[in-house]
Amino acid sequence: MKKVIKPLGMVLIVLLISVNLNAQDVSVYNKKFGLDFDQVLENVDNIGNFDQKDFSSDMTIVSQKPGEEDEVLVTKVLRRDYDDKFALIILAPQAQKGQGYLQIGDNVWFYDPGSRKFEHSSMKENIQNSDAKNSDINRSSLAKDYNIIKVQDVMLGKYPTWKITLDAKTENVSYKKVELWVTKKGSLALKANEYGFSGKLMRTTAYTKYKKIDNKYIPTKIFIRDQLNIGENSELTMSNLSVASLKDSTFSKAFLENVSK
Amino acid sequence: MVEKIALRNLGRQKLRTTLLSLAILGSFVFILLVNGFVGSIILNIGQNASHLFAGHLFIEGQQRMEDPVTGESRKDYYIKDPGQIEDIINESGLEYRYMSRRSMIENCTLIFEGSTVNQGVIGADWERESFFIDRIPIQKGAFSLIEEREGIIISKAIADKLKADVGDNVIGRFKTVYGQYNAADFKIVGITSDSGLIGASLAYADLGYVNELINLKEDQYMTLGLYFDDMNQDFKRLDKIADNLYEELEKEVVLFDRDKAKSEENPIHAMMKMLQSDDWTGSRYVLSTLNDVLSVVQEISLWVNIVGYIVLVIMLLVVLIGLFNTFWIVMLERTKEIGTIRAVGMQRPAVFRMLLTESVLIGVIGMVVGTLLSFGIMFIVSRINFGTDSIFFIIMKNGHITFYLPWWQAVLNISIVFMVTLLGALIPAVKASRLNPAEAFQSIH
Repeated sequence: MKKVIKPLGMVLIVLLISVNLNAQDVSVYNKKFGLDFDQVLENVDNIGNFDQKDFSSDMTIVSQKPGEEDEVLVTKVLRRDYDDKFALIILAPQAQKGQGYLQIGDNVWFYDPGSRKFEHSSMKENIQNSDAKNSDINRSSLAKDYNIIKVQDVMLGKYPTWKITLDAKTENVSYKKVELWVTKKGSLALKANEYGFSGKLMRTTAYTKYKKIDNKYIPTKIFIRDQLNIGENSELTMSNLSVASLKDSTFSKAFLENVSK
Repeated sequence: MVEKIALRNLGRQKLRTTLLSLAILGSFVFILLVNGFVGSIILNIGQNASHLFAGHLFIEGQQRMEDPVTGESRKDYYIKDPGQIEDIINESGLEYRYMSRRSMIENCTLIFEGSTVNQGVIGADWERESFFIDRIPIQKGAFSLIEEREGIIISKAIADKLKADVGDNVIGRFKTVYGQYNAADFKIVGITSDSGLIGASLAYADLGYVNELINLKEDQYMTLGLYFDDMNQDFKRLDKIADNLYEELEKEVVLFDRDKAKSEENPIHAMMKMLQSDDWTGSRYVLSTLNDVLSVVQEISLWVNIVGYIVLVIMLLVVLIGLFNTFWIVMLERTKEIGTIRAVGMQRPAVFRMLLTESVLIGVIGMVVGTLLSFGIMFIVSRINFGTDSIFFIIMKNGHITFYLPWWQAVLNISIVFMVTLLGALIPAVKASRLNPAEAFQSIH
């Protein structure tokens, strides 16, 4: 009996220590800075998520690739965050006019008016040829998808920020690790470094301008730099922000088909 | 005796004999070349595909589950328990030549100094797959260098697009099997000769490294391939092997319904549809063979052969009419002669046989010369090296067009021509054999 208890006891102690260490990662920083950083991360999500209203805006994406001409994509973004619905419709250029994405819960489709077909897609997919992903402009879910593993008190330019290092909770999340610079006041994300599964820095996103609408803050200028192919960038500009109600039929396949006609 | 007379008669009408023989020769050469070319397409595609995909029979795995944290449903493509699958195969007594274990990075964007190219990257256990190494023609660098963990071998077309060379480091951007973004460094250790549309879009790397990058365990992989000896000419055997293995696997794992897919017009398309269905969870496996991929090709080949035979029949109809006209005129021209030989004792059956023999001999001359000419054309055409960078690479053997004629097709072709020659002279021969010798003498023709 004694022979069994001793190794079991060792195992329990190791487990307790490891659990405590994990718990202390965030709590260490919470204690150090006197803040609940899980709450800070939730605030980052909530500041841009509309829990009771619809959201729509125009969005222009300018993509630059080395050795190629700039591509300009004009789109309309439609969101119903409280119902986990999202739609993006491409308005220009002419060749892609009418194409769009529709998300309802777990399901995401891409619609092509040319073939009149809906294909399964993902919020992780890039928007056409740009470096922007559907998830970049949909509601934020950092608190749900990531654990905080490190917090640093740093200046980003003239802004005092928390540099929060996040580690993905599951393998399903787009990037394994994210470094996020969040303003101390207002919990606005200013910059993010996103790392791949192997730990390589893949892209850097800078949120250079925000607009307040209905007590929420929406980034109206986002600059995405591809860290693998230097010279490849995308700039997103949001305008005509609105929280006017959208018809239920907006988030449907029929809507995308009709809009493209 | 009859045969000698027939042969002499043919010699007396050299021009007529030559023209008729040429007509038959032309038809025969046409059908031999069509049959031979189509026959070799199936063989070459099968052989090239078996080398490209490292096997004749394939097992792939798919996992479908709910993510425990996000609650989202997800599908992952890999063999969950490769050891179990390999044990089942080995215990089944199945005799295979090689077993390949491969993972693949699909849609990998290779980046080098501002240039990007989309590529599939195949990770293989090259120590165990030495058989396939010989079939990947390295133009520059060395295959052995792929043992360097980050080594990658790309095609010349890709190297040219990237403006990269052996020794250069390229970055790959892709997703793991769980859909998470990832990037990694690769070092070009070899450049292959282009091998057509498919080969140009594939690169090769170490299985262990690829698994690491796509978040699979060291001993896991996505596709198991089995390569069999002497399979390329006997695809029916492959289906039987697959059916037997399917039965063995079904006892221990869940498989996608192979029979259901096979019954569809396009088995591969049917299988893809089943794979996309969302009405199940857990682990499932797909068993497919090259036949499933080649079924479309086989159908096209069948139709090409059918069209070839239709054209042959039309050509031979013309020959038939020509033969009939010729032998009718022969019969009229030689009425007195026929009367004479009948008078000196030749019986009706012999007269009948004489004309038919003349016709058959014309057919034989056409077929023999046609066969020799066909072989000559096949030999010359097969010597031409079209290179391995053509999109038609897959239907050729190492850049050469080849010909393959199954024995039954040769017999069929000969039989068709033989029947035509008989039919062409049948009525004139009957008429000639019924000629009354007295009336024949009096004939003014």
